[in-house]
Amino acid sequence: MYAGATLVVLLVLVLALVPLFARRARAVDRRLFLWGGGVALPLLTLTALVPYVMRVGHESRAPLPTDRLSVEVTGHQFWWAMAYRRAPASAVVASANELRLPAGERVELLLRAGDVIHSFWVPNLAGKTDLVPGRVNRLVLRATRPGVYRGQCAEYCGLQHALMAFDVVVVPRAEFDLWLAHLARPVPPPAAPELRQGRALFDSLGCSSCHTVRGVSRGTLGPDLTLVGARRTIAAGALHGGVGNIAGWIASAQHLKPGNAMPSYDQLTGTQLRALAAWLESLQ
Amino acid sequence: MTTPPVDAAQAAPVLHPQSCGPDGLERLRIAWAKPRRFAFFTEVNNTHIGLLYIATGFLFFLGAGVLALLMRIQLAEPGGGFLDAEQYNQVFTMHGTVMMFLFAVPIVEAIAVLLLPSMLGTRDMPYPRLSALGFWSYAVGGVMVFASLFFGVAPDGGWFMYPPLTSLPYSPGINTDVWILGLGFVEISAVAAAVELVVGILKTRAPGMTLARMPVFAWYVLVTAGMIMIGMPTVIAADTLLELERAAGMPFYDATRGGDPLLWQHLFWLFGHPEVYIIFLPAAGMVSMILPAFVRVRLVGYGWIVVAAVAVGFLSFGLWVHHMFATGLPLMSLGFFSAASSAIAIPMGIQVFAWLATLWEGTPQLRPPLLFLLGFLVIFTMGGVTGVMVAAVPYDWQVHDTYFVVAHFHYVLIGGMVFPLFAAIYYWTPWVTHRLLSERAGRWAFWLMFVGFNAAFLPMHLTGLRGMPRRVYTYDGGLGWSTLNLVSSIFSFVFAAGVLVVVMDFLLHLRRPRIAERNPWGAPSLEWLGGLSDYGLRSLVSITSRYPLWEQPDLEEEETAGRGYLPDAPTREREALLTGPLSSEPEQILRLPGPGWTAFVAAVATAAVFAAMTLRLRVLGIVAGLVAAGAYGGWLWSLDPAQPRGLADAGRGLALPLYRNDTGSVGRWGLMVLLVSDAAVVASFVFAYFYLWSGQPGLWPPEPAALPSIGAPLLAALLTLGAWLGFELADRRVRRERGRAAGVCLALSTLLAAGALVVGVRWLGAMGVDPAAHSYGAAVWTLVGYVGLHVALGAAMALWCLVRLGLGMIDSWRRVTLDVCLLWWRFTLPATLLVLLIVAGFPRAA
Amino acid sequence: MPPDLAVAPRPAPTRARDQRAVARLLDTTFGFLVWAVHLLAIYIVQALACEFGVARPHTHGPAGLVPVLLLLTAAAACVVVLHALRRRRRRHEGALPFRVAVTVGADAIATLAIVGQCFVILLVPPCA
Repeated sequence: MYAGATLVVLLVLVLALVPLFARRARAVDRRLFLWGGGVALPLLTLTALVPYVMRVGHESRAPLPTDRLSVEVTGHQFWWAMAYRRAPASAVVASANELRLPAGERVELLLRAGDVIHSFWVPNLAGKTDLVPGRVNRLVLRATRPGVYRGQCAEYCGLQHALMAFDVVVVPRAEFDLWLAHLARPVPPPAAPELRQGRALFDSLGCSSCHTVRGVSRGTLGPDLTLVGARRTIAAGALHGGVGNIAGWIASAQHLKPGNAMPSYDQLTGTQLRALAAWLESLQ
Repeated sequence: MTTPPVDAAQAAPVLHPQSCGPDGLERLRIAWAKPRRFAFFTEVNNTHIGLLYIATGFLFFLGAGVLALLMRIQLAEPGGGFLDAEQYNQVFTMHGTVMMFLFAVPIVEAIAVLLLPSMLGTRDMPYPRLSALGFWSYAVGGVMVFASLFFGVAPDGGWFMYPPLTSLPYSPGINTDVWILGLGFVEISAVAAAVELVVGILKTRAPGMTLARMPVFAWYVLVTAGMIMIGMPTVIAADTLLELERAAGMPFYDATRGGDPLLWQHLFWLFGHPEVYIIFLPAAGMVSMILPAFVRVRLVGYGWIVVAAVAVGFLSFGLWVHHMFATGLPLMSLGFFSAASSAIAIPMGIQVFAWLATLWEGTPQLRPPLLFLLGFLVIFTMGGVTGVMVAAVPYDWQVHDTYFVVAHFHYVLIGGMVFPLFAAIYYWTPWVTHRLLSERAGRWAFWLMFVGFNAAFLPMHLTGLRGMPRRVYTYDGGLGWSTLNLVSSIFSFVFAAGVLVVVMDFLLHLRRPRIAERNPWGAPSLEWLGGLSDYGLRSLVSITSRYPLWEQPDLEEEETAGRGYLPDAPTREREALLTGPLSSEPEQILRLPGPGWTAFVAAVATAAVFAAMTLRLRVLGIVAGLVAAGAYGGWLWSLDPAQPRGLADAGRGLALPLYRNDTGSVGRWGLMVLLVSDAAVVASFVFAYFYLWSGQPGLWPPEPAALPSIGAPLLAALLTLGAWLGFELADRRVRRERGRAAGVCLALSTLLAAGALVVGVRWLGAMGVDPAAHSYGAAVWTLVGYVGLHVALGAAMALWCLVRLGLGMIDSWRRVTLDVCLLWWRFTLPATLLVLLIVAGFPRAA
Repeated sequence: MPPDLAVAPRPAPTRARDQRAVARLLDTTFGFLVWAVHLLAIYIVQALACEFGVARPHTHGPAGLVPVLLLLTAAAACVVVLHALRRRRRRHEGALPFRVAVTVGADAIATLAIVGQCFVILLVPPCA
């Protein structure tokens, strides 16, 4: 396609320049220009191109048997909620800002919007599909090779549209099953004193009213943090993971990503911050 | 008034004899003279308004260009800190908004307003005060919208303003209201200009200038104006619904209350896609006018180009869904629009190859305008081929909302519109200022712009293919976008330098000496005959060729000697010829209004009303509203002045009426064209009703018990029918000089219309649907409200005619007022019946 | 003023002229009007059929949808082609050649745009 496009542009360029270098009046074959260039050229290109493009991309809407894995992806300003479901009757397991997929398997994504319009786009896996309030859009994805793919919101959704990304982590099927089972379990009680302090802070500061940590809290206003320590990025791709960035994010979320729903907890002491971040980081 | 007809015995008595001598010229000059000093604001002539219009549009171009540079500074490196997110979002929103609404569309209309009368061989646009109103509305409204940037309340929802992001919960500030109300106002002025362009092209062409001889620019503008008439109303309708949702809580786009965000996208892109062609087509028209002058041959394939222009005009309305390929619509729906998008490649190809063939046939002279045209051909073709790519659904899923699309439409718009615009600046400046721009500066400007543009935007294709989305204020350094962005940023400044060269050149050229010749390029089209002057041509010439200045050697002599039509202004009023829409035979001497404050005051007061609505300033709103109402009222009252029944001298042995009361009157033409736009608004609201229904067929109405009753709408329909009938009868009576009977009919019509309104309001109330609770109620109230407004206006018109009848201002001769109001009723009646049928009948049928 | 330019009254044009002119002007765009109606028709028919139709396997849409769409397309194309042929004939009867040429050209492009939809109807699953 690109070669064809280049040829057309070159043809026009050459046709536009030739008369400048051969300056003499000449009678041209008007029919060649008008019928040949004006009608035949686009018509032939289109009859070659249109039937082709009409047959491409249908697999993204293909019907799937209902016993397959499906993921409900909900866009929020400015983060992603993911909810996995193995089969129609099985329980839903929630996560956020990271999509894990089994390699080689076709997965149905059900795309919803929590507030405004967003668009789900993982350039290396599929084209984009919008998340529209009041609608559920389907997108069938199949990632063949394990690896990490970057995804992001592609429809302007407000102040921090730029910082609304996520990772797609494609792993072998067996590994995926283990991970999903792990995700569904409540997090283990904290072992070290610092982690215990962190967990206590999570409750006392009110983090639990917005965030879910399985077995700890059930907030839904913000991203699910059940396995937040295992994610490669935090705050919807705004920062790399790790205890330092988690602490930085808690202390100055409004500075790092102004206008997101998370307040800056800049009143915390260094110790408190470290404890809270360490507990979150331990959720792996 | 001193020169009697020579052969008085042979001639019938005619009014206002014309003189082609120096006395005639003197009167012509006085009649068309520009008012001085403060009265600057009162001038309505197209040359005056057109120049101001273009200058204002160009200033907005420069302003929006600066915004683009701000964005490029911010994106030059990853994680840039030049602008914060809030500023960046306002800047990119305003860049798109200003370029599209305040620069591109107005400036092409402005060029048409300035050039068309001269190209068509007449003296002015058919409704000079409407041009002035349109310009001042645009200038004041546009400045207010732009100024919002400096107060930090600029719109920040993107130029496409998708709800629910722009709905109240997610955009509580006035930023969005600035966009909706400010641009709604500017859009109305765009429609006004379109109305007058259509009528100007169809009714004021030079005698003998049949459709086949019309300058091709006029064809392009005719198509464009038609597109504006249909396209702009849909976005005005969408704006209205959004503002109703924001201000009155009527949920059109709110999915939680039965609305649908995609309704906005349908309405917006139904306008938004044609918008691109609205911008491109007049530019293509300029290309087709400039090209022959520099290759010294006639345009190849005139007829082909006309067909292509018409084809683009229509097909562009079938593409809107290709902005919605990612919204999850069924694949086949997408396919229909994908195929339609591809089909437009055929008329585009025809135009490009017609221009190429013209280049081949002639001997090109590489002056600056031609340079810009060649740049246009190459850049625009690239934008065209990437356009075919994005028309393919699966390809678009990848590149939609990425920098690939940014690159694509900048190739289309800068290539397709800005380069021709600069060609036009170099080409028509000597027509305006009688001075040439510098060739050297022109070459510099071209190469800076050409190289700067390509080096800035070509890499963006790649940036987009590498996954960079649009509308992001920052990006991560590790994604392979950094170098490409830096290159784009640097060369955007090279492009800007090219623009700056042109601006400097223009300012400096004003100090150069005037040139002697009227037609420095040896151009073939009529506007070069007279050059820019207040009254245009000395006398209106008769046309027998498509390229009059090349093929009618006696034309200049005939024109300057005053041997054409209307060489004089015997009544000291401004006059022009009205001709037949197809044949172009002279039909009437059209008397045009001269300078006056009406249009300026009306525009400023209306702008103040919109500003007051935006800022929620009640008192200012009421005061400005009264002033505006006064201005419009006075204006309307002054229309349809008394005109003598006799024929007047038009020159060249022709006597023409000064007044027409049949279907050919300009008043009737104007309203007819305006009603097309109005019909588009009604259609948009009807579409909204059915679209919202299709999203939730089971909830229509949401409480099944609340089906609308049948009796009241039936009664309202009968009353409306009666009101219309009263008007029809009044018209018949007036034709037979039975003024008293006509007055009774009009009074009856007013009463019946008022009755229909009362019944309608009570019906809405009795229906018991809350317009803020569910989209059903919102859609019903909007439809009924809109036709109710029509009936109310119709009642006011009946009253208006009644008063004028009583004052002896309507009789069997002078009845255009009545005729125009009757036309309104002939539209209102079917629209009302349709809406009542839908609202009362559809929920039962569905 | 030269004597040969003596003023002579000229009858005012008749009433229906402008209306007829508009009708003639619109007639040149007949093909595109049909195209627009056709595009809307197939779009609405398909959308409603998929939304309310008796769903067979969901993506295939209700039975008979594709034939209906093809029929609509064929009908629209025929109407436009017939219109063009008629106008061409009229050229030999003295109608203005320019307007006939524009009409026929517009009809031709409109026909292509209408027939092009067959690709879509035949190749894309109707309700996916």
